[in-house]
Amino acid sequence: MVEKDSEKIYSFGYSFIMFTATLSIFIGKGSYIMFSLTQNDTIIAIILGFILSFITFYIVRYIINKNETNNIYELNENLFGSFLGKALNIIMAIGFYIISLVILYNMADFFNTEYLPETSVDYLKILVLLPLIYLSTKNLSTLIKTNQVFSIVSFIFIVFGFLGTFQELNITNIEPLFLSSKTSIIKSILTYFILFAVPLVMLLVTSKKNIKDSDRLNGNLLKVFIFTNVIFGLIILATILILGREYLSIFRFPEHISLKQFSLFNILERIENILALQYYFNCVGLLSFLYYFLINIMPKTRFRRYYSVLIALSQFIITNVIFKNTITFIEMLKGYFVYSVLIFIFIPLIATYCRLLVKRKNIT
Amino acid sequence: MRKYVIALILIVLCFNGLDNLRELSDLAIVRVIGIDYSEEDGYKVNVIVRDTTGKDNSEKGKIYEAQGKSVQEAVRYIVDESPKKLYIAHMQTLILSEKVAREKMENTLDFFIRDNEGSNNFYLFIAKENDVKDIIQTINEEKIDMKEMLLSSAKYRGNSNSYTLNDIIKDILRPGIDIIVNSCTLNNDKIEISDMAFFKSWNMLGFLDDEDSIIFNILNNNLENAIISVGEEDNLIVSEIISSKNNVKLDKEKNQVKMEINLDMNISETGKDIIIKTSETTDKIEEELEAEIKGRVDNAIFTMIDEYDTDLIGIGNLLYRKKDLLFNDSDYLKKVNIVTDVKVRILNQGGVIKKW
Repeated sequence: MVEKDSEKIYSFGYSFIMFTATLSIFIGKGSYIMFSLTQNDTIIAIILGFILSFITFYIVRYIINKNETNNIYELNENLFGSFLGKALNIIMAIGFYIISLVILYNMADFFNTEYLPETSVDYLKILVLLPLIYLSTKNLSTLIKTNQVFSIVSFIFIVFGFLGTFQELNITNIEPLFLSSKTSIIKSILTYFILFAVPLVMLLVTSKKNIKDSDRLNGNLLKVFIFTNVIFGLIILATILILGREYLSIFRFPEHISLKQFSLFNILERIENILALQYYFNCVGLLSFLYYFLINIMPKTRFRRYYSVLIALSQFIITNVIFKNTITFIEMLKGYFVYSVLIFIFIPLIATYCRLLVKRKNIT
Repeated sequence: MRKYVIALILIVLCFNGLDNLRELSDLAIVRVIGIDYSEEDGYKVNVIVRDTTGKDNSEKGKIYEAQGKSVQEAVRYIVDESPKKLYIAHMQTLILSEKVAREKMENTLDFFIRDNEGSNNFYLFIAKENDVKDIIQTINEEKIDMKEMLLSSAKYRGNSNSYTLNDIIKDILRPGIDIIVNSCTLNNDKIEISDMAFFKSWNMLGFLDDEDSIIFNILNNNLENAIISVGEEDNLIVSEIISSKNNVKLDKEKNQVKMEINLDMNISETGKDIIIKTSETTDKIEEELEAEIKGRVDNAIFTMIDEYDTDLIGIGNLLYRKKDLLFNDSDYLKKVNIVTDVKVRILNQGGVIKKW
């Protein structure tokens, strides 16, 4: 499967991996952690986190530009040698696996809480996993194209959705700012900074040589990076202005609740349902890239085509064992998720960058 | 591989596990819910369900009644009478008894906030001096649309507001603000929108009178239209507020909250001695109206602080938002200096220069 990347990828579609991944990694997960820490000060945390994320963005862009032929796995093996490189890849793969577990359970939990409370969470997980197994049979360019379509449709609906809630925006809800402690605000900024490494690392799924219009890559990456942060910031700002500091704190999915206020001339209502569907597509989009990463680290045997089934099955079982219910999931999400991303994704990324930097300096 | 996946999807779809699947014909679409409480019987729920049998085009529905230890239990026990499970996503009105509003508001509303189907954009009423059951029966018998009735009252009378449950919960959760909720009552077997109920935190304390309901709507920027009269008989001036805006400002140094109330009004009726010909006359009327409204506003604020001991205009919330330390004082309402300033602008005299 997957390995055939004969079809060329365009830089615009490739850059949009960031957009989809950001929405899936933050909505209901990252934003929930940040809202729990800083309520309406979350918007400050996002602005500062965005500025800080330029560091990660620069690192990823440097890796993409200075390493034109390898994806992150191949690059690690080149830089660190076979043993250390593989070890680093396995650490990253563990990170991808943990993220996919969290996304899978969170998505099933979302649909269970908001739409299908009488339906088994297991059944919902199967409904998510089946298309993923199918998507895993596709090559990277198809995944990227599918992802681009999801992103554009998502963006249109997000804009439409929040325009419809315009009259519900109450500017006084932003006050009082800086009521959260300095520690909480710093934690919230770091949460954004660390979690934003995930959408950026997703870009290392392939190398620059596979991108057809690579001369436009840097510009498109920067544009989509800024665009993604601005859109996500606006979603959070709208949620705060609609619900207010205290009301948003009581909900598990405040972004979704804020969209329930949508009403266009009292004719068109409940657009949150369409956006929930978009959220599903975004999550499936990110999961498909995570599966791609996971499959690519596994040995190339004749059973390779069944790897996606194996991963899906293991995730089904492990989510059942680890996340016994929503409360356990929330506790683990708040307690360990950011640290997992830090240890398994962020630090290996920094290690790769530093090694690449040193190697290039030695060459010159 | 692909055929296995397609086969799996088909299997999943055939053995449909989406337990929430309900056909439209299986839904009992709720229009109004009324809730009462007593220590002996627990929660008593009366529900008007839309008649979807198609036999009658009227808005008259079926009433179901059940009781239980919790709202959820009572609502679920309705299944004993109705073969369909209640569907509250399109509910328009929730009516609570005074007992519930005074003692059980928090527990009662929890059920609705948690419910995933609805969006909490329905209207809440307190049943003033009447049984919820009687009000529910009258609504059904008279085919009354409570939502329309409330919105008309808010729009043309000004003695109610168009807050949905969402707005009410938001205000309850906000520090330093207490809520005002619409009420309804039976008058000669007819439903009418009545005086607004005022709360401290989750508990109802009493009802405002009609005049204070209008004043608090002005102070909370919820007023669309209302009639204010000054003078009597031959000197009577009846004017209509067509827009109102209350700008509230905090002066931390002076420990002062200043309310600048700007009202645009039209003259709609006058006694025979009131002749409006010159701008001086208009100025004089504006001054009279300003004095009258300021008197009412000051009186309402005084009553709120000294009699009700509740913060219906969100003074505390302003202190909280502006991080004024006075907010931490439980007696902040008595310590803050509230200054009001009313400015009336008469825009129209009805196009009549009286000569009879």
